Amino acid sequence: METVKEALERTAATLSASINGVFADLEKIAGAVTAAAEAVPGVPRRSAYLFLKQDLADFIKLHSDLIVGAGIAYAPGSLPETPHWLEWWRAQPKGGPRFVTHDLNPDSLNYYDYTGREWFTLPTSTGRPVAVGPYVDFGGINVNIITLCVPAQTAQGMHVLGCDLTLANLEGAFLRTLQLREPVVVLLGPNGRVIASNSARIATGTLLLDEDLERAETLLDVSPGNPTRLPWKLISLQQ
Amino acid sequence: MQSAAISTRALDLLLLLRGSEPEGLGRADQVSYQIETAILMGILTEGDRLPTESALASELGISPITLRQSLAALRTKGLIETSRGRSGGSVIRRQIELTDTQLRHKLRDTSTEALRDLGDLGAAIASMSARLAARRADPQNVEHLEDLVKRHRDTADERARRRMDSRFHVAISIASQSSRLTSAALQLEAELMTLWWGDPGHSGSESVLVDQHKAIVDAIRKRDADAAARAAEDHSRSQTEYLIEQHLRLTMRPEEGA
Repeated sequence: METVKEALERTAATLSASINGVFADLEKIAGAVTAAAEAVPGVPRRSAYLFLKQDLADFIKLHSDLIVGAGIAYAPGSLPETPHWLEWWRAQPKGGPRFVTHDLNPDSLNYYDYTGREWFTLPTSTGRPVAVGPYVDFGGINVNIITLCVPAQTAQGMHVLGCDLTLANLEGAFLRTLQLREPVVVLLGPNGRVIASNSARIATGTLLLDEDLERAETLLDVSPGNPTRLPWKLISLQQ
Repeated sequence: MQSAAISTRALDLLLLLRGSEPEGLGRADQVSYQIETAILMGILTEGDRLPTESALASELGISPITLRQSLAALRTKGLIETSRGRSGGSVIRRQIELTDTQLRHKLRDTSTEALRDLGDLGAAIASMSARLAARRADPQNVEHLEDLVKRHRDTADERARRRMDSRFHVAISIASQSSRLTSAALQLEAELMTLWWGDPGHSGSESVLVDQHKAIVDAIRKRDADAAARAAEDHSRSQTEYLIEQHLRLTMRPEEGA
């Protein structure tokens, strides 16, 4: 008979293996961006990165069980054509992914200033990949998501490759792996927000209450090898 | 063919359902969806005769040609029957019954986050409707609500009881005298109607449900707005928790998990 701790370790291992697989593929694309910038003399134009459309489409398709979209945010001022540029694609039920338009006009009410969003500031300030969220991406895709971000260093600045995981997909993966109704188990994000749980009382997207946190029995990092990249915890509560 | 013209009230409710349809439908499909939802919710029942095509088209704000397309789609599904002549027109032929499997799959595939979000909106609508109803419901409204609580309690058939539950919640919004809240309540109930509410008599929560309904109506009758809002919010939250509980159970069931 599997103990609760073993069930948590098994769930953590499965989740981190899937997420780290997505990270690894995104890092390959980030590497290609860095290489493409070095391959051209002077300041690369947008056309230097045209390969991304196909690479990201393949990437989205490959990981469609977890992610719903992916893209790149260019370092401000790094492209000769425009000060800010964001290219994001979203998976479609049929056919290839669709380009998501963001309002990059600073005078607009819907202005999407990605340079101030955590998913852009965190990887560019640390220079390291990180999973950001859960958060509701208003002005972006307007659903509750987690973004896996990978920086791509170039001479013109640090770009960010990212992909969006929906909480719905994560919840499915979590529940199907855990296969445990009791005790209460919570998958917790770095902001104290519940990513998924096996209890109807502790719903996805809410903050885990202090009184629940005090009942924590087993607490472990989902990705003990790299908790800064994937800062999630699995917590079981006392009955 | 036994039929009776639908009441003004049923027509009003049908019109309030506008906007509940999924995105990306053409106008004719939107109207079919609206009418199907009204049938699903029991606003339109077997034997109800729809207004004449020209009258219904103008109420819905669409052209008669578009309406004819909508009605043709409903006819193909066997939901309505149309006859010519003086006593002619379109009559609702049957109740829509989603199968248990359809309802279960829908609930399993709706994430906890989506259910919580739906529940949040439901709690907001329910508590404000109850708060306003406590200040605005006239004796007739209160009597109607009490009647619905009893009919809900005494309905044996699971599906029919669900429909009665929906009617009760919409009736509170109607008693609040707010057509926007009523419209929001209707659309929310329409969405909840497509989810699975558990095995008949299996939940054991029926008496809790009836007590919660009574508490809401009692507070409305006493014109205690705070108590009404609180009772409605508690009720709404426990309903959401129940749905999430079922969703978790269905997702973790190995044979249905794939």
